[in-house]
Amino acid sequence: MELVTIVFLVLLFLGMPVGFAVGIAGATFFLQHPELPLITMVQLPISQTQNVTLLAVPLFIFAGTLMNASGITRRMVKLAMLLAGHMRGGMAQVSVVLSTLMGGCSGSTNADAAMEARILGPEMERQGYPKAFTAVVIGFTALITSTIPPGIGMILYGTVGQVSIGRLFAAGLTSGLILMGTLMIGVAIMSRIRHFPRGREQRATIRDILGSLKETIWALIFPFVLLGSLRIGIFTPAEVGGLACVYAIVIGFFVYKDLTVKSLITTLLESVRDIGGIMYMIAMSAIFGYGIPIDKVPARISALITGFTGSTFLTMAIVIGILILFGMFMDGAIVIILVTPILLPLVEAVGVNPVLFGIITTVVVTMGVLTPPFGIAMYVVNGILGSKLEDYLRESIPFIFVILVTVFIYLVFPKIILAAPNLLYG
Amino acid sequence: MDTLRNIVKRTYAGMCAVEAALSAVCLITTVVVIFSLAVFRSFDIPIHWALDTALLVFTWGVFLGADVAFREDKLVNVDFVYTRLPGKLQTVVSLFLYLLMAVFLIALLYHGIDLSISTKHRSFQGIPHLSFTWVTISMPICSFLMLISLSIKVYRTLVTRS
Amino acid sequence: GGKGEPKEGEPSYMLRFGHVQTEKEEYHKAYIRWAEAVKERTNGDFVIEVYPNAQLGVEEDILEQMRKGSNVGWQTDPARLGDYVEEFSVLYGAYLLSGYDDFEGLLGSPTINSWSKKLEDEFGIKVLSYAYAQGFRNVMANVQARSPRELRGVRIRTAPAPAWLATVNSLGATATGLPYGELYNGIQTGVVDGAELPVSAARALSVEEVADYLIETRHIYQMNVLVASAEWFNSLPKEYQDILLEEADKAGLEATQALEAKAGTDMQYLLDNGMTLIPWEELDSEAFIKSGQQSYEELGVVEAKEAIYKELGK
Ligand code: NA
Ligand code: NA
Repeated sequence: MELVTIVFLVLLFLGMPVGFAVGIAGATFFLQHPELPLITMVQLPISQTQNVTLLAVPLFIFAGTLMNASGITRRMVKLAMLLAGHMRGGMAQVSVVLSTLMGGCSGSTNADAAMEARILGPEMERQGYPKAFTAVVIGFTALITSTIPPGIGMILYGTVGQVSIGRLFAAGLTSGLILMGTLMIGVAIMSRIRHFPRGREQRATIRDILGSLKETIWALIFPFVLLGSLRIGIFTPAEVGGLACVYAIVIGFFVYKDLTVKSLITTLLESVRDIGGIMYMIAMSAIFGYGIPIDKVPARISALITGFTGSTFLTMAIVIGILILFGMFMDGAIVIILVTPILLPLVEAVGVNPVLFGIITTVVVTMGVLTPPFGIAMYVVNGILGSKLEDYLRESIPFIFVILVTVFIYLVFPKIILAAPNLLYG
Repeated sequence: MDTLRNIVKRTYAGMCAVEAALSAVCLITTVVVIFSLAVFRSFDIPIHWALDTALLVFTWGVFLGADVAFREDKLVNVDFVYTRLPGKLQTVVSLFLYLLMAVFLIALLYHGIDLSISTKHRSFQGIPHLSFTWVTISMPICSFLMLISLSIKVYRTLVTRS
Repeated sequence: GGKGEPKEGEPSYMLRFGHVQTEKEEYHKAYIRWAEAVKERTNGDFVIEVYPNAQLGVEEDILEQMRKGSNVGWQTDPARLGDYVEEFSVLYGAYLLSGYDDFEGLLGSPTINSWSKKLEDEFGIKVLSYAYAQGFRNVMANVQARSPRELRGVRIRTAPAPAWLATVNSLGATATGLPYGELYNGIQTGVVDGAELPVSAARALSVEEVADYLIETRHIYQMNVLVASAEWFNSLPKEYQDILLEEADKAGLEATQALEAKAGTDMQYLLDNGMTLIPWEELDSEAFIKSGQQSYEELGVVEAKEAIYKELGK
């Protein structure tokens, strides 16, 4: 597997699409093992697409795009403004709240960051926020979206690690709310120090907020509907994904009336391309993963770490370090698929709950989209807002600190994260 | 010559549109089938073939969609190092990567056909008389379509450089 | 072929053997014993590596790899092999075997060997052992039933495959195919009224938490089959082939007997935790056996059944 990994990194750095890099690197394992039939290389990606739980991934991506096209985003922005606009650093707080609200519709940090950069960016610039700060606040708060259900990362983790997706979703909801809290505190402190303005003079009236809630309630209850239908056990994750798509179409056509047949077709064509791109990568990663059990990689890595330390805390620190490193260099979906089977048995052995580890993995790995060298969301927000990378890096330091503190809280007080899944599932 | 070129171009554009449309149809069919499966099951009417159909259609949607994304340069990649290379080196790197990708795609095409022949008898569970080859053949066909997209990319790289 | 590079101290032959169960289960332990025995008898020249939890991949894919001559092995079942050689699915027909003695009587059966030969000649898959049985499958449900008539309209979960559906339907029940992972939730939420399982699996899935009655229908004595690539197998020296087969049967019989002994404990566990037993003796067994005969017609394996019965002297 050493050669496979090196080939993968070289191809990745040279700019080959990840799906090809991971497939070609995996193919070198077959060249090293001539006794393996080459048809296996074709079987592995196909079997990956025949996995019922993974079917949930494209369905939720499609549902997210549909929600956006159904006119929910506009209404959510209004609600976030009413809820947080009056605070110090109001627009920055709006970004925190908006990401939390949108978390229930979308499973993607990249999409959320791009949307907010377009919608909130110009207004924040008008109010005098430094461009790089705007980019950082929009980017890092979009992390909340990845843990609130539905989240693509959670589904992948649950599939590969054989952890209940219902439990992960329940825990993800709590973790998203905690992340919202710590980020709001962080933004409040920064706003005080740097004298950022309020977004508006007064608090919104309860009547205004209720009016806005009435408009957005269909999207706001969505994560709870998801959790409920998984919990009652009537539906599988893939089925819930299918329901989510139909739900978004119904709301778009009949409640908000913003969706038209034409925009539905546009959304469909757009989603097909996104899904094709992501699923090709996920499918091809199966070729890469084939050699992992054969070369006994999990056992070797765990022997390496346990030979070094027996402490739960130190082990977790090393594991989180590995996740951050991988997250920085690879796409989050790939990291979760490749690394979960290696690290999960290891952290379970030192007594860490697999649901908790799923939350930590998702947050930490997703942070990689916001850091160099390969942070997609980072490039997207800087591109849209026109901020400089050096400034972005400087501004991101306090936010990275907030995220790591939050992960530390998850780890030290696992009961907080596990309360919701335990309550729902016993 | 010019008209021939135009005909080829237009035919190709038509093929691309059909590919995207097929992929979209596959996605929406997956949604409809999965949704109906869930609804009917709540009314105690299990549909055994639904999940398999959804997966069959979905595999096609994924692989066709992947070629659409590839053609439009929408596959996720990392151009951090690449964009910092001098222009000449960029061309060399691109061509080198394209070569590797071509070899890989040809391997998938060849072994995909081999696999599709050997899965002919493997029944697609729950649906009588439907061979699993309908699933496996999606991979060589996708690889073939990607080879076409790839050759266009190679052509463009060579033309813009000279 | 499966020849590795013959380096100093490296084994000349290797088999990667995979299955879907966890490392804790009786079968996995049997495979490890098999591997150890083979290694010892060949002085480390022939090694079996065992991969639990479906680490090697999907069953259908692995069977294809075998056909291409890859050095992989797998624990499969007769229903799957029925996709290749139809007769195999008779082994999952209702009431074919009436217990361990019948199972033992079938080991080395010329009829089954003729199907294995067909599997080897036409599809390149070699059967290594039939000696791995898991005991009876019984119905666990939230309704009481003592005859096929009382099972009418009762939705019983089974594996979503034609052979399984045919057999469960033949008991009078309405067979409902659900993935294994949805079994517990399915019963709890009333998607199905029950499921049919060996007691060891029922205990592992905590079925006693959601189902009230253990109806001892004994409708299938569950056999499993160890397979590998015929091309690879034939490339082994004759001596190694014999060692491989002998030790596979030996470890398998030990596991089967261990499970047989454990079945009582597992059933007692289910009863202690709230299930009510409706024992085989209380059922209208004649009606069940008669009704079960439909499964053979449905699967088109009536002749195969007669051949087996003839061998067992039934
Ligand atoms: Na945000
Ligand atoms: Na989300």
